[in-house]
Formats: sequence, C-alpha cells, structure tokens
Amino acid sequence: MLLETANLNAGYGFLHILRDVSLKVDEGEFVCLIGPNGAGKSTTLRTIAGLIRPYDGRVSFRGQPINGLAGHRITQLGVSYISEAMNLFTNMTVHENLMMGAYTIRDKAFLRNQLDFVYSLFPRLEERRNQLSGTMSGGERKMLAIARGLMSNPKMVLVDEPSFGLSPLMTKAVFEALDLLNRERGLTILVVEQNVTLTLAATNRGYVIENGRIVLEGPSPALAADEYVRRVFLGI
Amino acid sequence: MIHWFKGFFAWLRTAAGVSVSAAVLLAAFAAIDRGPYVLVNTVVMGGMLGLVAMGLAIILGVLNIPSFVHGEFFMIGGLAAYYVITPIKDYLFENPSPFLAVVGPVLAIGAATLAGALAGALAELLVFRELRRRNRDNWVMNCFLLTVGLNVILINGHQLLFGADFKGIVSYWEGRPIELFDVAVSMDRLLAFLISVSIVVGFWLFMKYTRTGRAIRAVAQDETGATMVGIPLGWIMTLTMALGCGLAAVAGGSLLFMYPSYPTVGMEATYMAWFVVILVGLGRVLGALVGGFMVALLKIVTLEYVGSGWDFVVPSALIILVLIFKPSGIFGSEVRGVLDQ
Ligand SMILES: Nc1ncnc2c1ncn2[C@@H]1O[C@H](COP(=O)(O)OP(=O)(O)O)[C@@H](O)[C@H]1O
Ligand SMILES: [Mg+2]
Repeated sequence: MLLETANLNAGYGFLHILRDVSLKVDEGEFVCLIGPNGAGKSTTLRTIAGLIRPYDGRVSFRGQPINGLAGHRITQLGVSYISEAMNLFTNMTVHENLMMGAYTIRDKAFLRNQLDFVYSLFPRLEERRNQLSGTMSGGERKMLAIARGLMSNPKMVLVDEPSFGLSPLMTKAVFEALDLLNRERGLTILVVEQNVTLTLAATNRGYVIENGRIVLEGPSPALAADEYVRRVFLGI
Repeated sequence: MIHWFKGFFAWLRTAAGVSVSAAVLLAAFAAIDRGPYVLVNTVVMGGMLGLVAMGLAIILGVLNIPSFVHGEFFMIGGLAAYYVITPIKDYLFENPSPFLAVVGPVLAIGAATLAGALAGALAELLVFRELRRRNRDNWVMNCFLLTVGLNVILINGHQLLFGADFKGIVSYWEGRPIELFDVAVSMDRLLAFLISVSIVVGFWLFMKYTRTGRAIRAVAQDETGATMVGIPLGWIMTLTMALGCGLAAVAGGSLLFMYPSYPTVGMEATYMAWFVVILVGLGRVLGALVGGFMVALLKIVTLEYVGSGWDFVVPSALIILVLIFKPSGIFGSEVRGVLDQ
C-alpha cells in the first residue's frame, strides 16, 4: 500500500472535524474523495500533507508512519499537495514558481527535464513563463499550481478541487492532464472534488465522506451507480 | 525611447516618484548651499541606515515580527567590534604592523556581524520559535511585546555585564583622509560606505539567485506554499532572523567610530529603522535601502538648517504625515500578514 490512513482524527483546535477516517491508496491508483461542502475533504488532505497534526490515528506512506512529520518532510518523501487555494508565490514569475516547486531537487539536468515535462503538459505556462503568477487568470493559476506540485517528481499527488472556479472546458483539460499523468507516468493520485459526475468518470476508486466520516467506498463506476450517491450528489 | 520617457514621467507622479525627486532636489540644494560634505555624510549614514532598515524589513516580511529590539543588535555589533579592535589596537601600539592594521578593522567588523547574527538566531530559537510552536493567535501583537521585553533585557544586560560607559574608538584606520569633491573623507567613512555597498549587492544577489535566498522570498510570500514545495520553515526563519540581525550588527560594528557602544545606543537605530520601514512600506526590503538614504538626508539637512536636537523631531513628523496620508508607505506595502491582523 502506498498511502494509508488509519482511524485518523483531526481538526482545528477544539473543532474536531475528521472522525476515524481510514483510507488506502495503492501504487498507480487514481482515487477520489467526494462529499458535500464542509465534510472534511480538504482537512483530510491537509492532515496527510502534514499541514495539520492529527489528534490521533496513523498516516503511513510506503509502510512508514508519516503522521507528526513536518509538512516539508512529507513533500521530500514524495507526496505533493496541491491545495484548493493554490498557495502560489504571487510576486514570483511562472518560471520562478516552478523553480520553487523543484526546491527538493538538486540535480540540474533532472530539474531541466522536469521543467520541460511540465511545460509540455501545459504549453500555456511556457508562453507565460515571465509573467507574475499573481496576475494570471484562475485557470492559468490552477495549471501552475499543478505544474509546481509536479516539479518535485512526486510519487503521489493530493489534489484539492482541481475544477474549482474553472470553466467546463478548462476542467476537462485539467482532468485529462491528471489522467495522462496517472496512466503514462504511473503517478498515484488522490483527488478531492465536488464535481462528482466528472470525478467518478475519471477515477478508479472512490470514498464518500460526510460530516468527517467515510460513509461509502468502492470502485468509481459502482459509486456512480449507487442509489445513495445518485440521490445525494447527483440529485437523481 | 519615448516609451521609456512616458514610463519615467508616469513614475514621477507616483508617491515613490514624488518623494524620491523631492529628496534628490533637497540633496542638490543642500549640497550647493552648504557644500558637498552634506552629500558625503548622507551617503555614509544612508548606506548604514539602509542596512539596518533592510534587516528590520526582512524580519518583518518573513517572520512577521515587528521588532523593537532591532537596534540592540546594532548595539551588540558595536560591542563585539569594540572588544575585538581594542586589543588589536593595543598590540599594534607596541608592535606596528601594516598588515594587522588593515586586517584588524575587518576582523572587528566581521566579529560584529557574526555576534549579531548569532544573537538573532538565538533569539529566534529560544523565544519566537517557542511562541510559534505554542500559539499563533495574535502573533504580531505578542511578538511586538516580546521584542519590547527583549529590548529591556539586552539594554540592562549590557549595563550589568559591560557597564554603562561609552566603549568606542576614535577611528579604525590611522591613514590620512581622502579628498573627494573638496571634502576630506576619513578612511573609516569610506570603509563604511564600501561595506554597505558590497553587502547590499551581495544580499540582492543572494535573494535573487540562490536556492536559499529564493526560499526566503517564498516563505515571505506564502508560508503554506513554501511548506508544500518542501522548504523547511523553521530553518528559513532562524536564518532570516540571523541575517536581519546581522545587517543591524554590521552597521553597529562599522560605525563604532561614530557611535560608541553603550547600553541604549541601539534606541536611535531602532527608531530610525522604523522611520525608514514605515516610509517605504512594511516588508519592502530593497525599498528600505532607498528609504535609508532619504531618512539620512532628512536627518542631516535638519542638523544643518534647524539645529541639533531637531534631527529626531523632523523625521518623526514626516512619519506621522506618511501614516496619515499614505499608510502603506511610498512604495506600497508587501506585508499581508501584518496588515491582516
Ligand atoms: N482553518 C480552519 N480553522 C477552523 N475551521 C476550519 C478551518 N478550515 C476548515 N474548517 C472547518 O472544517 C470543516 C471542514 O472543512 P473542509 O475540510 O475544508 O471541508 P471540505 O473541503 O470538505 O469542503 C468545515 O466546517 C470548516 O468550516
Ligand atoms: Mg475543501
């Protein structure tokens, strides 16, 4: 198992959000975590990424416990978190942001490779390479956030709401890029989304979270056909 | 060409343009009216004030600490330089050596920088890191109070351990002053200026082109984003505090011939650096250098035309005006963290 959380409890101060969240992601899988607004999806990803310390429970990566490690150590181990807010360096150019994304990489030739790779994935970024990231459109910023997250050549990415604020066309492009990364590069992906139809069509497996608890899990096609999911999320 | 001129005239109408041109005009007028020595003094003092203010600005921008203990690192720098240069001077008195006469001041100023940087790193590790680990609510206010407390501790610590007397030197270099535009510039002043120029250039190159320098800028812009790309926040914060305090200390060491070290010598440096930082906008690191020259000019012109005793009042009055009419400073503020609180 590449990533595993066991009975994870986490939150913000006295605000207990996640209750006994257990999920598993195998190497090469494309897994989604879906649920209504405020269910705790982002909190789950933040806890795995080491930005929040869990109250108890365990997170392990490649069999090693990583809960309690500082966020930068988890990135160094090969788990890249791409947040909903993107957290770009707004006073730096596109190129500088990508260079920061490769902070953990010291091999110059390898760094060049990564740069060529993300530019080929998102050619638009190369056109904008000298623009300050704070002045770009929402879609371009989202691409940059994903590209920056890939610069460190992660084993796994945690992507929070890639479609948020994007046009349907842009959303489709972003999901196609994720799909490509998963199939051709063997990148393991855990994605959080509110766009349930699209996500279930793109992923292999999914978890449904409500009020901080995992309430359902299964292969994505099965979830898409599930009575409960159809009623709650798809309004059918 | 025309495009360039248009851009320049547009800039002249901004707050930054108006203030910088006013400063240039004022400097030119004073230089013609009173003599070029006004310029020499401004440049020497401005360079050093620029260093101190850059240190304050980077600490504010990266750690979000509004430091009222900043000048005490200037004091520590002077103190360290004094205790290194005095025995060297004593030794030189008995055994003249041209080599040591040149290396001695460099050693003293180097020791000053190191002492300030170390003291800064210690303050970060012992005080601010602990606070960060425990409680990030009301961060700016708590840090402000902590720095005021540290300020009292360091001033009284100096008095207790080293006494309240003036620990200073007449000059670092024995050499004759150099003639520049009919002004006799002492070697010490020249050295101070050269130090500020080389440190500013080195600092800029470091921030722009090195991995660590870029990481510092990244932390200033987005802490969470910096963690996400694998930057160790703790190390960057300690390093930044060391750098910022080192900048104040190198000024304290370099200016020992003007400002002997005594317990409260840092107060003026703290206030002057705050004047600069408020004038240019919080967190503007390179702006702080420009502002350093502007505040130094104001101080020196006040000394010339209004009289001593007023050199604190006029800059303060200016800062009150800035806070009323342009609270984000003439270059605009870059620090979101402080303004958000
Ligand atoms: N920084 C925070 N401080 C306090 N509460 C928060 C914070 N971030 C999120 N929350 C709360 O935690 C709950 C879960 O949030 P989140 O994980 O962002 O939900 P989701 O991503 O599923 O929409 C919400 O009730 C939200 O208000
Ligand atoms: Mg969310």
